[in-house]
Amino acid sequence: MKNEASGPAFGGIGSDANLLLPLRRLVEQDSDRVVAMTREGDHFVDWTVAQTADRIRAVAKGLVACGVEPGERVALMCHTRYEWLVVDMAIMSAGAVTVPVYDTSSAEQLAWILEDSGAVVAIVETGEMRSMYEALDKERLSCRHVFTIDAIGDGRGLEELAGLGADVGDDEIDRRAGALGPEDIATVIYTSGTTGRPKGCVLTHGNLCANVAQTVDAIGNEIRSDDVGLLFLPLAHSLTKGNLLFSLEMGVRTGFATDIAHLGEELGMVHASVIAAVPRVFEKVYNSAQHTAHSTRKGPIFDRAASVAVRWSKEHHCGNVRPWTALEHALFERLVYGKLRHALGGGLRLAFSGGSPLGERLTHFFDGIGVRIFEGYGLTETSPTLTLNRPGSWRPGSVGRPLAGTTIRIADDGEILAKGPQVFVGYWKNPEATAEVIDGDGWFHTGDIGELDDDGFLRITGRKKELIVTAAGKNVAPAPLEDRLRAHPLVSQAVVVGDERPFVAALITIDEDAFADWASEAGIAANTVAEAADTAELRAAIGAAVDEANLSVSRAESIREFAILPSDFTIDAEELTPTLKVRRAVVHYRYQAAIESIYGS
Amino acid sequence: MTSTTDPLARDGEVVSLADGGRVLVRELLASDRDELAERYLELSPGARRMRFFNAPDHLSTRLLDYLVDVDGIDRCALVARSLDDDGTPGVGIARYVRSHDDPSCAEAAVTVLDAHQSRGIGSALMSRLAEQARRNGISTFTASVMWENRELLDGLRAIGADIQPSEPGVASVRIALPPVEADLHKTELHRVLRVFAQRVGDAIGLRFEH
Repeated sequence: MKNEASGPAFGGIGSDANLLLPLRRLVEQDSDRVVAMTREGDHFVDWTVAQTADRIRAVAKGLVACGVEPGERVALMCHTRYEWLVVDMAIMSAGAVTVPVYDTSSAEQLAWILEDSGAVVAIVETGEMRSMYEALDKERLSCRHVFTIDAIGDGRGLEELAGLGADVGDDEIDRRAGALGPEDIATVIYTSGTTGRPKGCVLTHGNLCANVAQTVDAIGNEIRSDDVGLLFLPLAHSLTKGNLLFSLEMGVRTGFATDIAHLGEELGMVHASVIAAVPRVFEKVYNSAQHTAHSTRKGPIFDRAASVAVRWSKEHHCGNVRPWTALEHALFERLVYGKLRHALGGGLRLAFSGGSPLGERLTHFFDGIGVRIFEGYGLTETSPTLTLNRPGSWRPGSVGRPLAGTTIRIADDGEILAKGPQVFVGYWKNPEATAEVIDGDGWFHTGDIGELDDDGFLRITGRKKELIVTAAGKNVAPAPLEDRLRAHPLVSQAVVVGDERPFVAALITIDEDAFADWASEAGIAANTVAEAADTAELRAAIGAAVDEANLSVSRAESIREFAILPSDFTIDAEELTPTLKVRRAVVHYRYQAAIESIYGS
Repeated sequence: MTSTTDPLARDGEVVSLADGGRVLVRELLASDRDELAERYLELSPGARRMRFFNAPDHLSTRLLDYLVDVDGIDRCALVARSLDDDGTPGVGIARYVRSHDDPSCAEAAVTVLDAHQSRGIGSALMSRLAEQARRNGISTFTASVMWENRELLDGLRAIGADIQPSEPGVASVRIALPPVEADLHKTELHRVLRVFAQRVGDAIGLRFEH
């Protein structure tokens, strides 16, 4: 095993590089090219480079008219849609900095992000978000204006914002956009730490442009001029943002999905060939295909087809597919694999996975059915990609080798350290937090634990941060949620679960001392917690504690389900160490049945 | 079989701290129970988290029963009691619990009230606890420490502890105890702990003491 690996030499980026240049280049060279697609009823409509550039310019002028100055922050709370691209680019065209806010964020989170970033304008998507904004205590906010993308008829929609800028000249936008260079801040993306409030990751135009160039260096050759992408994960997540920037650079037409629920349908409607997703998406495709097969008595065929796909991929990867495997593979290609690819839209060729670990078997399964998934690794702080599997350098179960200009080092305690042009400059107005992650020698400390094999492929093996990463790639800090839960008198212990699961849930133990009083007051006949665990009364009481805890987080991070455990943690059952520290792994193991029933598998 | 040569077992030992204060280090007694419950409530959330990870709001009857159930051999706890008249006698506690699987190993933990951290109380407790453990045939301390407790881990690394990743957020620490013949108070372990405790500030001390 190695303790350091570097990618190839990096060609660098221009001294005037900024994120607006790719689109500007397209305007000059190919302005009728379709750059985006949005759904209208039962079909997708095209947006050309010229149309998009015009909309961006109009909104940028509106922001200038509102008094937004270069370097000032503008918040954008919106789900993934074409307008996200327009507004993000408009903010940058005005020389300002985009502060994305998840569309699922809670009022507490929105308030904190607006306050900490000092955003001067907020652009929200819906009337509901607008109401959330209006209800905030504005005293600590610097926000002067708010606009709503889905106009609510109050004269403060995106069109009105553009209208405000009617008198702003093109030269002003050209001047501001042209002045942007690699050192300028492009975006501040808030991420949750293990404790405390979310921190803003400051990413410069240089960071993001470098990561686009590094990704092009790694896999640009695989992209064809007729490739089509589909975006469906939140653009507030750095993986999706990186995907969009890469597509603009490569001139890939990008569809904006309406909703992840329509993913299968819309992959087909746009005939998507390239996507980036979190493992959950691939798991869902596999699980629903398996479920469908089993419910139509074709379970055994599917299972056989799946194991042949995995075997074929493994043998193919080693360069030696045995004749029998090849024969079976050809058979199932006709019976099963073609149908699966059809369910993925029929045209999917390349997929990128990140955010949380993709199982090795699943990677081989998809490869076996004809969809190559390239898994990568990175964090918001690294723009986001540090390592990536790629053609000719593909090792399922690993997250690939370092990108060009990137060095990965494994510290003595196993932590993955990184250096490269994509590593951020620090957290917004938080030098202490920055000093905790960037050491004196310039290494970024990822907080993840891993190993490099002899060929420089990185494997992620653990985590130094007390964080849960859901299958949707959402980082959730359990400690603040657990603290809030324990504030309820009936709650003794709370263990939040959800690592590599579709949502967050909680296992809760009841304080035995408080339980007796509560039971007699509530008129519950039960003598023990175990007897009362499933009663509506106790569940309602604990449900209230869960609702209270959820106020602090976004829907994506919130506790959707909970289980009341029959007894409190003990040392005898080894849920507590001899010195009474809670062992999460043991709790997960002992209450596996409760966890499985929460996730319904 | 409490060792009769052990001064701590009877009256305890008065320890002078670098800041001029004095504490009495003695074994935990059953009569300390109520005070233990009260002092726990005075710990900051951060201090509780570092000590118990997923810390309860208060110590339940059951947990208190467990914490005061010590025998000085397999389950040993030492308390530090302030001899300065500041109205807070109990300021710190350290304990080890011998492993079932390997009797030469014990899990150790220490807690010092937030306001008394960085005074060297944690290292005074730990060095005497290590001595006691050695006399009882324990040669290795293990501990689970949050990775966030960076200064403590740096300090432990400096004295040769083996630190490995455990579950998310947690490091698993093993440290060989110096032989009992050596005067522990003069060992590298003690020196480093002391220097370290005094150097770091309050916030860091909070992490250190656990």
